[in-house]
Amino acid sequence: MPHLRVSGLNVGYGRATVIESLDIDVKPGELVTVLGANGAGKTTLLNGVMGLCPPRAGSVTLDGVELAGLRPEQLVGRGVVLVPERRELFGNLSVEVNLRLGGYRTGAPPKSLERIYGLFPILAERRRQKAATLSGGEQQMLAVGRALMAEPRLLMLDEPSIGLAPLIVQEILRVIGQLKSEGLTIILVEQNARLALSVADRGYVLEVGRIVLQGSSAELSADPRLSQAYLGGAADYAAARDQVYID
Amino acid sequence: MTSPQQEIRPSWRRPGIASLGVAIGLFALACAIAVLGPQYNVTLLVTVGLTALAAMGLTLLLIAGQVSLGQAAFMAIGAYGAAILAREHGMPSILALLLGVATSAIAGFVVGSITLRLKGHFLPLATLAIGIATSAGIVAAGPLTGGASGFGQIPPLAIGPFELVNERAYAIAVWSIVAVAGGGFSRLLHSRTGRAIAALKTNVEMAEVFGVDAARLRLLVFVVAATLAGLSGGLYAFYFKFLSPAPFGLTSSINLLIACIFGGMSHPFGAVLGATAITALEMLLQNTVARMFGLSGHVEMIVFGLVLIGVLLRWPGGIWSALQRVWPAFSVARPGRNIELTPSKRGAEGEDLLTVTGIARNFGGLKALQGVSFSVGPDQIVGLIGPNGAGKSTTFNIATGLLAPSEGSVVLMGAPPPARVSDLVHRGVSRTFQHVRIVPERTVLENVAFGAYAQGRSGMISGMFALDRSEEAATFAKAWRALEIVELDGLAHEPASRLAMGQARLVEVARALISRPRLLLLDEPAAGLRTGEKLKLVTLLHRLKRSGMSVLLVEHDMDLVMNCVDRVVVLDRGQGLMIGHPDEVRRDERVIAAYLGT
Repeated sequence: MPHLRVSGLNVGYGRATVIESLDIDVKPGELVTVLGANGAGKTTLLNGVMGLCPPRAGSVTLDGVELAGLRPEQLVGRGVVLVPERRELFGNLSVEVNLRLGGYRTGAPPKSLERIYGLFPILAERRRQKAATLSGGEQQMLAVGRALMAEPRLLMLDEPSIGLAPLIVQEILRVIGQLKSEGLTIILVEQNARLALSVADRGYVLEVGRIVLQGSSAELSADPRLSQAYLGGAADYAAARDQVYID
Repeated sequence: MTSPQQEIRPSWRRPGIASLGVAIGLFALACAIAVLGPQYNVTLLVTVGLTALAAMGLTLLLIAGQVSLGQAAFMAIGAYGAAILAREHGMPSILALLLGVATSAIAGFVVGSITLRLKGHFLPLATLAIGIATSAGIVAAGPLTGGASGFGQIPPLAIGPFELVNERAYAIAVWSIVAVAGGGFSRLLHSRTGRAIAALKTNVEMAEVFGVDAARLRLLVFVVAATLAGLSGGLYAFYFKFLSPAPFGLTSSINLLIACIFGGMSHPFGAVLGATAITALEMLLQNTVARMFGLSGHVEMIVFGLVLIGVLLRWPGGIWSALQRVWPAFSVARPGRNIELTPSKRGAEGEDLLTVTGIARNFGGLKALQGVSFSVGPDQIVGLIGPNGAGKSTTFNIATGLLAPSEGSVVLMGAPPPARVSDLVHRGVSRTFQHVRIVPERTVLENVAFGAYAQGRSGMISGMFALDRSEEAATFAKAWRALEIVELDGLAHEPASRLAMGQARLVEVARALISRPRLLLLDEPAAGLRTGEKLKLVTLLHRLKRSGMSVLLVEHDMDLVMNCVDRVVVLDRGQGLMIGHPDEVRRDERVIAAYLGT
């Protein structure tokens, strides 16, 4: 099983550096979550690992093999697959063709398709439908399914819960848990920290392009530095509302 | 960060000053060449200036997100119009020129009115057809235009008793127009109208939500492009004193487009650069390279093509994009004094701001919505929740008049939704979009400033010649304030393309705020925000409520919705499942089964 090491990673756009000398480590079979504020560089980190935004410095190794500098399609060939933030489906193509395209690089056998339909039965029902006509939840399932068609060794999920109804989030989470139990190594970028920590083994907290906190999910869940900014619950929302009416 | 003793003053706008500098520099350079250069260079100078003028019009079209393959046809109309009036009707030549340009503008208006409704690839195709038809028409109308054999003996351009016979003086006159147009249109980019033109390219619906009459503005840009082409053509006629259909054919239209793309199609000076570079390249190849290697005309064209491809591979945005690094970024200083963004007082006191009654909507055979009713009262935050695909976006669009309901009725601020989306903001209604619609190449501050479009007055001319400074200062003061409210003021001068998704959503909120809505519709504003940021959003929404604003909120984060809104409307499969207080909704079995889960 794969072991991902990111060390001294530096990624940016144009003149701006977004993440700087970043180290993370994902052990085989682990589910690691990356938390952080808006604009902290979570998506940039994934794009850097994926080669979508080539790293300027540092190394990314999978089982000791250097990946930095490879093109995204080469990375897919080596088992590194990203489910992008905006899903990036082929809207005018059918569900099934979208899935098949996920296996384009690796030549996924037909039974992979059946496996995806097993994981997400709704996709089987919709197999002839254009991806653009799916609801947000179904689209996210399709994006995950398409990534799985490439038979990843390392799966990276960028905000899979975004814009989804609570029930659908639970469904996506169930599948992520199932994939983990099957031994897949996963990086989960999430704004919903409570959700992410409920399934992850470990987590990193990213702020302004640097790791500021890391630890097991249990440690992070209990960490006071995380409590309000990331983990706030109903009471915090009520307080945020009521403070307007105090004076 | 702000010092209260400072007054709001007209902002210091470096790109405007740089534009003025470049315009003066261009003019000075042209004057130097015109006065000191050999005769041959003077003709070249005029040709480049006229090409730049027509290309500049095309660049404006491109900035607005349109492509024309018939720009040379409007040059032809200006040229032949002016020439025929001056020679055949003995009209004073300056008057003939103006009327020729006017004819071209009118032609642009007529063509634009017909073709701008076309979508996708049809506009380039339609303008292509018009370009071909115009050349063919000139040949066919032989008795009037001289047909293929040409139209000669055009009198010189005269202003009163003063005849512009000296070619060097003519070149200076042409370049003074290029300088004024180039400087003006560069200034325009960062004005109220310029922001609207950029918004038009990003998303027409978004532009309309903030009060832009999209059809009218697109037509205006098309007419301006035709006017510039007509002026270029008219000046061509009086310089060369002989016209033939060839210089106004399809090849010329395509060459103009190449000049725009080569020079950089995001800035008017790109057109000047492109026209200059392409002429210089042609000259270089003809006179130097071809002679040196004994190349034939065809090989020359191939080399020309290779150079174009090479340059565009290196700088996909054209030559201008290479220079943009040294071009000052657009910035507006933060105003010293704090201003308040208060909601407008539109809508009758105490009445519901939005009432939808039994609305339904079918898409083909699909019933997206049936029998949904709810209302949003004054000073109320109402949540609209439901599974993905339940019809929330459709409801949003019907409530704001983007979509007409198949059945049922909507009362928005005491009347049916306006027929034109651009009137929405005048009703005191603003919104954000589920799929973020911001102008990626503009700064965060400019994106927010666009939200104040409907409150502004200044148009194209005042934008070009900096007559809008006090209005702009007020707009940007409000934009700064709105960015402070959403706590993104630190990113004010970043290009919007660099924002993370959650930040972009907050920019949309700020943009909606400065349009001073009484009713604010937010479509998933918290997606991509972490909890701390969501808490701030809740505080913000209640501050807005307290200041007299009502909010309709679509959102999936239940901790946020249940602790923020006064009432929840639950939709499921296109139908209203229930309406109630958050506590009732949270406990409702049907809502749990359809949406909340355990």
